[in-house]
Amino acid sequence: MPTLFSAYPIASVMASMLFLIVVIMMLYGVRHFMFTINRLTGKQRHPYIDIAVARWPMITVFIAAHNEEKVIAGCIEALLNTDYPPECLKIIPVNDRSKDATGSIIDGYVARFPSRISPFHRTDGKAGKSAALKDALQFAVGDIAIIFDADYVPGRGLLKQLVAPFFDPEVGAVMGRVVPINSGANLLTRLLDLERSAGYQVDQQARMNMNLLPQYGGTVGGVRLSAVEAVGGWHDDTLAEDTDITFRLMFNGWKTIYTNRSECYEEVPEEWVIRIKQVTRWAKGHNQVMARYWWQFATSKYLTWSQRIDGLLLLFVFVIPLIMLMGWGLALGLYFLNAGSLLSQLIPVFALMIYGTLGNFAAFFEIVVAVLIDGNRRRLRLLPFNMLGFLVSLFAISGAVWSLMIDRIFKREMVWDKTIRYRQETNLPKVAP
Amino acid sequence: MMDLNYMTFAAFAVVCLLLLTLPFIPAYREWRHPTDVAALPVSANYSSDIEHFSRRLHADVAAKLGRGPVTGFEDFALLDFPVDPTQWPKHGKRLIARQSIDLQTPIRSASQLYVEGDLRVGGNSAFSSLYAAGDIDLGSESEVHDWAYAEGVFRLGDNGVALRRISAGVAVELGKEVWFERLQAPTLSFGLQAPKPKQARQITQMPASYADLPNAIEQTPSLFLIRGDCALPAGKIYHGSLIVTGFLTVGQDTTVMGDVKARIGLSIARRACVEGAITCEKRIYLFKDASVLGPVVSESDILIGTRATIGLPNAMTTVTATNIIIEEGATVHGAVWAHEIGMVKAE
Repeated sequence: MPTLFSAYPIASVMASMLFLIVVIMMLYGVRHFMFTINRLTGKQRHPYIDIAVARWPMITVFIAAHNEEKVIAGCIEALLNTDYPPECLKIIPVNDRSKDATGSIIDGYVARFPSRISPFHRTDGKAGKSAALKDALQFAVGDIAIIFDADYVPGRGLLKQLVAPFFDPEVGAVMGRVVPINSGANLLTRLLDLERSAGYQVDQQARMNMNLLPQYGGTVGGVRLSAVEAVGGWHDDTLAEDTDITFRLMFNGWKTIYTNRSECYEEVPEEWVIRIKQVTRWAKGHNQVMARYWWQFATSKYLTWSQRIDGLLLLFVFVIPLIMLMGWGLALGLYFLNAGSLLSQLIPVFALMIYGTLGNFAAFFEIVVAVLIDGNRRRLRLLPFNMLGFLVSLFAISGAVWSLMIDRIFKREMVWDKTIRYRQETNLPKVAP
Repeated sequence: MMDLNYMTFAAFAVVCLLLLTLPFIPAYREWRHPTDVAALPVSANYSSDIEHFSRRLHADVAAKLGRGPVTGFEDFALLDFPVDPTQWPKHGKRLIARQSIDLQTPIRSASQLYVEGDLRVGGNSAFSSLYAAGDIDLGSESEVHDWAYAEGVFRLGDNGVALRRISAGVAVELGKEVWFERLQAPTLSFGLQAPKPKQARQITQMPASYADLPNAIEQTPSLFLIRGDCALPAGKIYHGSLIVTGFLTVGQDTTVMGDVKARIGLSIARRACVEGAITCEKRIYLFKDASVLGPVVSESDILIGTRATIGLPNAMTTVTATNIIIEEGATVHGAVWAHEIGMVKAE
């Protein structure tokens, strides 16, 4: 009696690969469920949020700005209005080769607040936020750098909340929560609002609760400069300097802290084309980091096993869409190969595959729980449309992975695509007292 | 037979399609006719601002008395003098006392009370929330259920209960066996009797380096990490910060000029001093006469011994943990926040 493999050699290989993909998807699905259940039932960690009074350290706040005339004033105004002691706060707007009125708006504020704002006008050099920040960091005062993108509107108490975790000498980076300001603009922004809610309210907070590895997101957060220096300095050859620094800090023994109550508004893309570019940039940058550090991370002596597993799953997260697409291809291929009995024996595998592909819909469970924790309900009716966002991201990320491989083969330099801004002065919500 | 099969398949397909389509109906309606689009409200400073409620009451009173802008919440009743505790208003309106209240008998008030002067009442008093432009002095076994703020000194006698937020412009003084949650003032004194004076001792501290400790790893020039437990010997002075993955003991009369962090537990021995912050995922012990200048943060318990001091009058700081037990005679300059239980323990 011939074995299954000898009867269907190609189909067997394909089925084995499919099985592996299903297992990987299952892992991610379980991870999402664990995070969600932890957020619902676990002990919530906010160890530093209560540090209300202290001898606050000297900090420098950097505002990354490239053609930000629509939003830069809002960010500077908000920072000037913060309750952080002014004598301990230096604001450095990083005007990175702007061609619009960003520079003159910054200079206007410098003229009014010369002792509080030190502009950094960058007219040449390597393009991109990470390169601009690398240059600007040389002018930091104190050991803590807090970084905002220009479209962010920090609340009055936000800086103290972000700085408080740095009293713990083990903390290398701190991340606050990002909240879309233009959530009601259209269907895309509403879907992104749901996604952001899940990403921060559940995913990041659960990592914090479980003592895993919350991620520093490059804005609404900060880094300890001596820690950055100790792990090799700020890298400007990456599209995701935030992920790069997060992982280098982690595998060198530094902690990243997520503070869920340190919320700050940001703009999310209002057009699908912009969204696709943003996701593509994230995917390329993240995968760059994955390729560089996954082994160092896997073998780091500073991490526990659970941290190692969580970090590796996080590192490989932007490869998963491509793997999922391969899984779909394999399933279809097996069907057309008419691998009869093999298919019937693999029904449980395909059932798992369905779970796996839709398994990322554990992420949808995350969304539901996150939105409910946030106190919203009716916007959850839009959840089925998140299939659309999911599919767009799936293909955008897969394209990005492919493009990254081509970049590496042909040694092409990666290009920074800036996310455009939509704000008009009138759509700034009032910060609650 | 064939027709029946086709019918079955068709019915199955229709049912599946319906099941898949159904969720899209409310989704489509919400998309075309949005009912829930507002950005998540971001509260700038609410949770960390202990004086949020007192400031609001003060603003409402100022508006009521014509001394400030209209707030829209000026519905108050004026308290009649002389105050008769047996005739204390029960209508639920917020109350304004236009002068100091000084009684030996208790008052039990369910209304918010604003006093334009001092408030001194006997033991067994109870207030939901109160504000005094002068001092607040509540006798033993009194209770504050919501918040209290004194522009001068807030004093609460033995066996009192101070739930939620207690703050003062000058000092908060709590008697022994008082239960508290959140306190803030330039000086927080625990135990109303003056602490026994410290015995003057001539201390000689020898300079020492973390690098000489077993398993020390230099993270940065001013930060060392030690795997496992660590005991800093007595009578030394260390410069820089230290992270310990196990239990850290700072020996008697030793000074650390930096921050310390331990994951399993942390003990600061008598007369030892940490000039930075101390952080621990588990329990922190601060023994008699120990001092810390920076924040003290634990994710479990903090036990503070008598005559221990935290913070400085001109450099206030924060003590925060799930449970905080403080012995009589200890002093904190700044804020103390016990998430579950805070208690003043008799020495």
